[in-house]
Amino acid sequence: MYLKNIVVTGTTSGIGYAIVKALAARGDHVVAVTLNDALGSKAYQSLGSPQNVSFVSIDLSSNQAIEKGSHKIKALFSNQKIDVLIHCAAIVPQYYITNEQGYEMQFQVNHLAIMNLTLNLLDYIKRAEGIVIATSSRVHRSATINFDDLMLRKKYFLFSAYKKSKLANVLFAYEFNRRYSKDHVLAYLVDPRLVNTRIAETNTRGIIRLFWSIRRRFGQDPNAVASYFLQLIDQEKNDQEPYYYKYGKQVEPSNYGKDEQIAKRFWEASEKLIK
Amino acid sequence: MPKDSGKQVKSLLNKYALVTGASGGLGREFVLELVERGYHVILLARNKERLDYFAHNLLLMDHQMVKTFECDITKDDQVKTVFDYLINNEIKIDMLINNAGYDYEGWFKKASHEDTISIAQVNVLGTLNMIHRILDVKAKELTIINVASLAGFFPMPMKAVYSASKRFIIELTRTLNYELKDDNVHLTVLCPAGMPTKIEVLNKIKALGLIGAMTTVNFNIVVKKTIDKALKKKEIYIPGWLNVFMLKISLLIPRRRLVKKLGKKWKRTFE
Repeated sequence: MYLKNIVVTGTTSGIGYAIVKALAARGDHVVAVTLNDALGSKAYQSLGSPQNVSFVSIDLSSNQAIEKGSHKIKALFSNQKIDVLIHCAAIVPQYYITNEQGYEMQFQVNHLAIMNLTLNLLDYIKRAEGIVIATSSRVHRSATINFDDLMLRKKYFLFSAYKKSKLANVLFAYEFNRRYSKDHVLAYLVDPRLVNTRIAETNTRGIIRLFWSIRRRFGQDPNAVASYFLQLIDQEKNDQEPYYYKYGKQVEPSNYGKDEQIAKRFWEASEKLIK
Repeated sequence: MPKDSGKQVKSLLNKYALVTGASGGLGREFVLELVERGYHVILLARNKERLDYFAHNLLLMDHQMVKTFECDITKDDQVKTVFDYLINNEIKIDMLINNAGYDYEGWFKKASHEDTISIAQVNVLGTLNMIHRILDVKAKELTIINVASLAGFFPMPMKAVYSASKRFIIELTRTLNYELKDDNVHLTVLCPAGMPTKIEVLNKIKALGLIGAMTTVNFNIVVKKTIDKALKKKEIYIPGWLNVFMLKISLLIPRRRLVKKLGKKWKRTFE
């Protein structure tokens, strides 16, 4: 089997960790991104310190850190190629919190970080004619973008912010393909449905935390979900729409998510924020 | 085609706002709100690099001005540079936001000399310096927002100097409102309880349990309301109804007992 250069974010736990675990066993050259070194080395040890996996810490809430971190990632791939970039990192904080640029945290980590990291690694991805996978969710279907208040400063509610960030992933992936498919790179979205992870438990409390801790028990095992990602990695590159995958099958995302004008406007607005 | 939601027309005010501590969590939010309301903003912070990084991506309207200064408000020469700039450019200030603050939590005897003195220097002298100097460059009307704390109402063990410094700000706001009324200067003091502006604070609130959850308010809303209330000439703003309620109850308790009670509660977090 052809071994690939693969970057995965959000690898401390959940889907990201499961993907790294699966890839580590196959022998691909994996760079796993975690928030800090402590979390990274903990994950690395629990994987059994595999030689083909390196952990890099990047605080995805900081665009400066992402830029610096991309250099660290690149330095680990001597053939200067990245075949696959998988975005699993996400955050769902209960309160409105911001990063050093004053950007709301979900918008930053769940959307801008994905865009920023992808664009910073794009030359390596292009060289490999690789793919980018973002983790979306069906909740994007009821969301729209408010261009006057991208960061929900007027009224923050964690679930509406989450929905919007997942719609942002759809808009990003489709616009990415409009811009770069000519360079033989492609972005896909994977909708893992409900997965048993701690995503809404880490930075929430009270009823919301309780709700999630019960709800997640009905979710799928992250290891099973990882297989949907592996399928995309292994299959021959499919440049036919839709780019949205659920249970390993192509599904149409919302019409809003596919809207060309909105996606273009959203891309340009986001690009301005990460410059 | 799906339509955009929540379209609103923004317009530029011909007004200037000055914000201290503009690169921190609460300061940034004040700046975002002021910029959205159409103010020109003059931003002060100790770390210019951090401040410029934030200011660089502000979404501005045409002709909207942002000016940043490296300024430690306890250093009078640096403060003077800012005011010289305002005077030389004939900029009149309509709103001053005294947001810069310094905090130390823990036993008084364990705090370094520098930490202890800095609290009073920044929170008391720095703020005082800004308020006194701003009168020279004030527009026809001037609104001053002082960021204090709910701690300013209590004698707070483990936050002895901090709570006393915030008490100074609260009382100063009250008396200056009387003295400066005829000069069209109005002061508002913001007294928040814990506000999560970053993830670390989020964890602290988690540690406070149920009370922490019930007294915590999103700070973007606090900032908006603070400016609204200041423009309506309200004197004190305490975010969160439960905070107001608890304050009223606690004012009925004799101070000496209150210190003991608060001390017991806080001691646990520092042992």
